[in-house]
Amino acid sequence: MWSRLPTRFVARMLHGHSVLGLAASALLYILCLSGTVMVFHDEFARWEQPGIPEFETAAPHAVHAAAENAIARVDERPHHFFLGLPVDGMPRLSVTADESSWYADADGNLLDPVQHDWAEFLENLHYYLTLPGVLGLTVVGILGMLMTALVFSGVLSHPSLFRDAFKLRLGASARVREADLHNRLSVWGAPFHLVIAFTGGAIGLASVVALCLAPVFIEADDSTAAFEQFFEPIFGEEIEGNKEAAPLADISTALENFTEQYPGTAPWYVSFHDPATVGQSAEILAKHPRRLVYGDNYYFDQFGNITGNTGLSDGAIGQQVVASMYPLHFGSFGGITVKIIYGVLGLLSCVVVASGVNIWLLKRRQRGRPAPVLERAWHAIVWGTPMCLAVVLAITIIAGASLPVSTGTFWSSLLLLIAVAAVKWKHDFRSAWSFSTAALVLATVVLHAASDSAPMTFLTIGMNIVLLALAVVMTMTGFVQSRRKHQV
Amino acid sequence: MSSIASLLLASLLTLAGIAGVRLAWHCGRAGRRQQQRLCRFIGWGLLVLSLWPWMAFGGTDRGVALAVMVMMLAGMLLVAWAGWCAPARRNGRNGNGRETSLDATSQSALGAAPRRFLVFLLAGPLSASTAMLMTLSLNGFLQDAISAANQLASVLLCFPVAWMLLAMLASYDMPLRRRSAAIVTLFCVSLASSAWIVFAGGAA
Repeated sequence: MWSRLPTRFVARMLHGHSVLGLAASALLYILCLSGTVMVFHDEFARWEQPGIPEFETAAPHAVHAAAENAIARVDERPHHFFLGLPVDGMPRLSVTADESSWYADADGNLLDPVQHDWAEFLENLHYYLTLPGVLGLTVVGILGMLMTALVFSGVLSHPSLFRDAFKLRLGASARVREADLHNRLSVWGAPFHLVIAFTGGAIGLASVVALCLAPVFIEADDSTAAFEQFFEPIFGEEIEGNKEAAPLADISTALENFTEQYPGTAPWYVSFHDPATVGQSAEILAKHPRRLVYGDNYYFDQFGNITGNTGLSDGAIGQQVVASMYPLHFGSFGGITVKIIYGVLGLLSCVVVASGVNIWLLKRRQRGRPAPVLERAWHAIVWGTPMCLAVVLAITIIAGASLPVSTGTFWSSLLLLIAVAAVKWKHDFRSAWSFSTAALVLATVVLHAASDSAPMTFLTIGMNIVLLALAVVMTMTGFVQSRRKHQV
Repeated sequence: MSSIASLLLASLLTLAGIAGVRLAWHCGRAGRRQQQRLCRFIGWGLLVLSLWPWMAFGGTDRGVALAVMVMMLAGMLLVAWAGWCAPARRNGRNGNGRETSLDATSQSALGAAPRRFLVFLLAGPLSASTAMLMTLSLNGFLQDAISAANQLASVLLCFPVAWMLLAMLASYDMPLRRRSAAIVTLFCVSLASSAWIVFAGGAA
């Protein structure tokens, strides 16, 4: 039945697919690549700051002690305050008071400030494309929406979807090879592409929906208050209470009660709104290991009694669907195995984006309208982006570069590579970029391993091995590319 | 059934299912239609059946997600194997599959740049505005009809879906006038609906 799609419809849909794909390709590629690396955000954070004590569980009294120590350390009572409990994948205790964060040991004593310059840059790049706040989220959301459209339009313009399902002619001409790569990977990866694109689009565009609908449908003092109330039906209310000083709510008893009442869950965060005040509100965010939802919030009073939950795990279907979107997007629902699978699928999505534009460039060449400058600029994006990420990795890990510096370095180096490639379009720089990526990653790993602050934990060794393997792969890629010059 | 047993059974059924689908494909290429139908039925049947042990292993929703991931990977591995076994390059014609061809009806008197800008306006701001108005209307119609949480979830999911469909319409290769007329009409209808919601309906 699929092969009987009308030819005219297929051609028109394919045209639309090309238009949307070309419009989104450059930023979409950067988003796919940064997203792939972001899957391992926690692993990178632990690798970046390796000297922090790690343990599977934190004693409830230690968690309370860490909270008290953090509140004593800050000058002003924080508005938002939360503790990150040790969980699978991030077995560390941390405390955040507004903008300040510290790690803590198993007794609740505060240690070094949390400092993950590389992981922070990755977050900023993938969540916001380094643009400010809602603007960045919206742009990323638009790309998610476009990627969703590309999945649907791609499937609808592929009548030989089933007939060619297992065909991959890597030994054929460049155009056939790229077309087969693009079509096979996009069809077999369609569920993954659809899920990450749609969830990314929905998450990114949620703020715009709130900005437009909240003033219309919510009675509030001002548009800011209306915006804050917009998400309450799903994520719960944030209550402003009496700010008079009071003892901090009993976290220790709350955790003990919670573990007794909800044995199948894993406490993840303890968060407060206006901690240590009369009007403080407190909740435990707990993971549900056998569910897709990212967790549920369980409220507790100042004596540590659990008083209710938000309903993300057992409430309205809409709450559960929205709460499931985050783990589906991040690949955080199945430990390191699922993360590795997401990493592989993420890399393959980069191949899909790259091959899509390659097909268009090859078609232009074959029709007698080559675009060598565009080809080289596209090479710069595909092979230069990993190199620019490696540059940022090096300067954040070795030199501790701040977010503004790493952001500026990334975009200026990428734009420089594109400009050089466009001006010197007769030269093929792909192998040079691949070799440079390999060298930068190797240098970063060696210098990081050699530094005093990098004790050899299992995670550190594992990450070093993976990064060294990446350097080897990029070196081999460079050799292949230097032999294949003048081809796309 | 123990967790390990569920995982083993689920993996076995999934791999067998993908193998069945692959065999169906092979029979189809060889012209063996009856065998193709049988293998296709068995293959897809095994894949559906595998969902139960996946759900037993990983939980209801999470188990389905794990199942789909393994199915994707199994299919990709078979494709990779096909690529590995593919014959080496021969000199021959380039080109395969359908060309992207502009239908004569879609060519317009506009130059390329103004046309592209119009398509951008259609797929971008106009589609976005129409999608937002549709979302606003939906929110108004759902108020008091379903729970607040389900209403909010519907609205959050409606906007990207609506914009996506409109962007696909805006880029679909039919005469620009027709695409524009369709999207502008939808914009006007959504605007009217939203205005009714705001001024006469359930808005705050």
